[in-house]
Amino acid sequence: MNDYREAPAGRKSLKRAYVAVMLWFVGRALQVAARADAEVRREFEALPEGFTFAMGVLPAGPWMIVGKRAGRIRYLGWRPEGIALDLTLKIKHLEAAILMFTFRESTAVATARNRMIVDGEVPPACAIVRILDIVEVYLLPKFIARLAVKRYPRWSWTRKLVGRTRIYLGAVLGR
Amino acid sequence: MEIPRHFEFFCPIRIFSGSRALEHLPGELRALNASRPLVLATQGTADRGLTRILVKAFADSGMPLGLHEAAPESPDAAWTARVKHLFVEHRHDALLVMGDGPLVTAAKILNIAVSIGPEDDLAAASGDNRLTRPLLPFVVIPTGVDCEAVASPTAALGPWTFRSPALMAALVALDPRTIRPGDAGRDAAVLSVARAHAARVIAAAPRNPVGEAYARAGLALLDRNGSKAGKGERWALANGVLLAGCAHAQAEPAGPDAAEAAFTGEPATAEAASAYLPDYYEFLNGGRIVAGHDALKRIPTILADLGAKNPLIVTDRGVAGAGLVEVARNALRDALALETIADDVPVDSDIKAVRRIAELYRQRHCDSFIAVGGGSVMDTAKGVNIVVSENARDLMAFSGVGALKRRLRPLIAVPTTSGTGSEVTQAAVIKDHEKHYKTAFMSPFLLPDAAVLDPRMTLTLPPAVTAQTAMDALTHAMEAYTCLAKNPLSDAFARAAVALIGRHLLPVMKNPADGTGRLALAIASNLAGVAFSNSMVGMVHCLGHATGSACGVPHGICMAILLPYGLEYNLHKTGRWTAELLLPLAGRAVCDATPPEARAAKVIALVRQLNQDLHDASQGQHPRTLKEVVDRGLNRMIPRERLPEIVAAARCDGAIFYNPEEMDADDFRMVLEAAWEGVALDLSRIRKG
Ligand SMILES: [Fe+2]
Repeated sequence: MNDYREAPAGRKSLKRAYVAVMLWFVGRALQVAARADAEVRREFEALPEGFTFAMGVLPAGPWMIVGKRAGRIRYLGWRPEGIALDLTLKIKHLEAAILMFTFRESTAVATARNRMIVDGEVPPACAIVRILDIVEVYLLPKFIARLAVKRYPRWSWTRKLVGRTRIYLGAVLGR
Repeated sequence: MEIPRHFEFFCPIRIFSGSRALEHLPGELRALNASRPLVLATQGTADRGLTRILVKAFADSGMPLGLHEAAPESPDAAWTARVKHLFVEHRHDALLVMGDGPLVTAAKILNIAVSIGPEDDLAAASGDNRLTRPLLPFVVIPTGVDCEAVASPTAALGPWTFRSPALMAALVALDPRTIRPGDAGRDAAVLSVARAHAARVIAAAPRNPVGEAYARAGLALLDRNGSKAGKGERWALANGVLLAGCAHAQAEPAGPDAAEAAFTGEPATAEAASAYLPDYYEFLNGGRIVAGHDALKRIPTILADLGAKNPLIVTDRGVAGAGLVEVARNALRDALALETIADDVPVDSDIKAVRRIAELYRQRHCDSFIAVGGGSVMDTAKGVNIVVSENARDLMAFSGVGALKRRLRPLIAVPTTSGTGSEVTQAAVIKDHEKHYKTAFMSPFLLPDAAVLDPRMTLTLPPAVTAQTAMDALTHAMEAYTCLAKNPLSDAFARAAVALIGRHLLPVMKNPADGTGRLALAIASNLAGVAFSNSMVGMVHCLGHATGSACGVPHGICMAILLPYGLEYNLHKTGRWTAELLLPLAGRAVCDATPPEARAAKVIALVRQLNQDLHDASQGQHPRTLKEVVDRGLNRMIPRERLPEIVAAARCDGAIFYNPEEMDADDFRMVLEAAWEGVALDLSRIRKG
């Protein structure tokens, strides 16, 4: 009697690729924002040398790794293997990552809905969330960023314009 | 709100409800050490494309699914035998049922069959409480509104009837994509039965406050204005049916006549006005709750149900010195000799104490724990439990989220303060005082198996401590109700807790020997604990933790002073929820006399008034402002110049994630300065997002 079949674990390649690109871009943007924005710089300065954090999707990525090396913030790629992580923000599954990176769920709402696991000490996690909020405000147009952060900040137009240009260029060019 | 002399409640169902609920399952199964689930569904379910949705949801999880899509509508014993064979042959380790009604019941029995091992006789496991081993991970994905069977502790098939709490232990994924309309007549019947079940539990009030909370949440969802008859609304109804089922399976309902009254009677349904349902929520009530004037007496039975008989008592000198361990021993004298006692838990849970107590546990061949005390005692007992259950040399190997993959030894929590709610949390924090760091452990397995709430344990609390701990519980309830992770069940728990504290706190302050009031506060603390361990807390706890760690102020004092400020700061975002708390806090007369738009402000004013009343009732020991907080030598504990230090600490506290409105250093400072002086916030200065 044919009453059993096995469904192998498939792959959602397109969605994975989308999240991978977003993480790559955010990682590079962090690297630039650490120099281009005073507030981000201050937050990173408070973290110890060698501090490394990753953000990614369970169970098998994609990941984004960022660390402080010789006083500078560096995007360290997408492979967490072999890297000692101080802090990991784990999005529970790919669909949750899609909800976040299509801005249908903000970081705060995703956290409230238990879609993320914070693995590591809480104080640096708070700093990283603040940093990610600032970077989102730089990267996104206001009407989208308003959905991504709890309170859209009141920045001077120079901060926004100069910062946005530098971060976009830097993230694309890798500088 | 009245309370009963004794009640119990046990509902170990974990609810995952809302958008993308199915996608959460692979991770949850992995956390239970399962990686090869077998899916059971009928041909009809498969034809409607529902198993395909499930397979898609598991894509990218790395977890393959075995599918049996030929389950009959009403499975029989022969089916159980055949599928058991499939399960064993293909080496599955978890069951995932897609369906409702009879299939869920049959799958529960199948779960017994595969859990007790391939050779064992199913007949031997039938009857009451004969299941000695835990069952395998069991997931239910309802495909319609008929999902009450999930909550039932009994299952019958052919010649056998099984009855065990283990039959309720399930993960339930209510996903709008899989809740489909069934036969219209049958769906209507299911809904009306569920409504009647919930109404009967409510009509039986005050027989079972926890059951009542489930019933109220369920009824509110079932009575939501069903004008949108779409997917979302069916999903909301399924939530309502499930919660009504949990209530009905656990709480002794009133007769049908009383239910009639509940349908028409004012008080029973008036509160059901609001039914907030977020797009996604999770909920775990968890351990067994045993509460009453003689609840301690139930401990031997609880231990026996858990298969234990030689518990280690974990407590601290303060609790032992107050004679509370003696109270417990005397209450149990006839049934159980409590001989092994570790009463040296330090004020802060500590790794050395964990190691020492684990050694004692092993020496005396104990098989379970009774933790008598507050948060530190609970956390220490949990830490010891990890060490002895995992036979671990290094406790730290199990730190973080989800490092524990299986059940620990039985642990019964007997709280001695009505506040922290630590008897119902899934976390433990252990400190290493030599290396100056603390480590957090998070796992559903850290939830105590039972919480025993006996008013004798709190009768001797001094008035100031009673006030602080109750205000902590009130803060848990009010923050859970107004912060970002609120959901229909935590809302119902929070409202019930607020009602109990609103009614019983001041009478207990005036008459500390009021056993009924003490029991009410213990129940309130427990309900609030369940609410906030599911829905978390916000800025009041964030600032409170910071004040506590910077200046050494007891947690409950910080909560009492800061609570009105938290409600005030978030007012523009959550005012309508704050307003809804007026009815439970102050009762119907006050609520009716206050116009709806003034209710939120009234709640804030009443919390401030409550602090004033507690101040008066404790001869000034309960402080109303941060500047009034003094130590034993009457020195000010929070000098104004230390506020910046508190601000810095607040920026490092994770509770802020769940706060509705953003807070930066300036905002923290503004709130602290107002709370220090004792003046209300200037609402025009709050920057609104
Ligand atoms: Fe608290």
